Amino acid sequence: MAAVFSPIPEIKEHAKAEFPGQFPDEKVIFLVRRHWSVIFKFVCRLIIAHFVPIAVFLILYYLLEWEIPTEGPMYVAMVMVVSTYYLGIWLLYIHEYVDYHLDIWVLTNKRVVSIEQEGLFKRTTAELTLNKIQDVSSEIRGKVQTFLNFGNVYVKTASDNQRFVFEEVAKPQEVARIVANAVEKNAETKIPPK
Amino acid sequence: MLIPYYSFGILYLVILAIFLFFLFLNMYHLVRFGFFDFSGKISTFLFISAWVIIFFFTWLLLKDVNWLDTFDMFGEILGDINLSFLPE
Repeated sequence: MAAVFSPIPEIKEHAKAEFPGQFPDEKVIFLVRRHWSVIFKFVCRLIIAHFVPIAVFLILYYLLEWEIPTEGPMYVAMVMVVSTYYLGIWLLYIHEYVDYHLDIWVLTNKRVVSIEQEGLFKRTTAELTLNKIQDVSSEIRGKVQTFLNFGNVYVKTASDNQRFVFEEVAKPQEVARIVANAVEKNAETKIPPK
Repeated sequence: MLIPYYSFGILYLVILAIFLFFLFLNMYHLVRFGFFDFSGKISTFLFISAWVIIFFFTWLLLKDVNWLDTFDMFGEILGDINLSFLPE
């Protein structure tokens, strides 16, 4: 069962191997976030957004033959609008980053914890003890997920109404296997010796 | 209608105050929930650097503006708009 605690290269463990709400005697097996391609999408969007004002100015200048003012009220307004736009896209980026960074799924030797940040004012924390887990499965859907090896991991309990989803995590099959191993190990420790 | 240049500045500061409020909330979440790790610090550093650069260029482009001057809203701004590209 040593494999349960072995680190996986692409599943980044938290530096301190700690998370908010952790019990003192609880050991973190892994802590995962969404795949890096999710944040990569935000970065690409941010880079493209930097070129939008330039494209607008080029269209105004070449297609509509608009003389870009270099002084006067129109110039001041234009500088402030562009400045606000750039501040805004960076603010949007940091917001998306925080949303990404605070969505985590943790497997410990006692339970599975899901912490999800939805927007600025909603944070959901849910947990499932290992002895309640009935089934673990993974799903890779689509070309991008297949190529980059990421997808969802579903952790189900005996009752159908409880299901955990590790969304868009790296190496979902391996994550599912580690969760299943942890559940198995937990069950073994609960069986009294004959 | 005569409008002082500093009215643009006031509007800019109001928008900036709203942005700072959202920035505070984001930073609060990052620090409060205990994940202000290396990646969080790098992203925050990049973000602050970007904002500093934007502020610097904004200041550079607007440093010579006399904010107490006034302009005629309908004469200088709306009157300058060239609408010749629109179909007659």
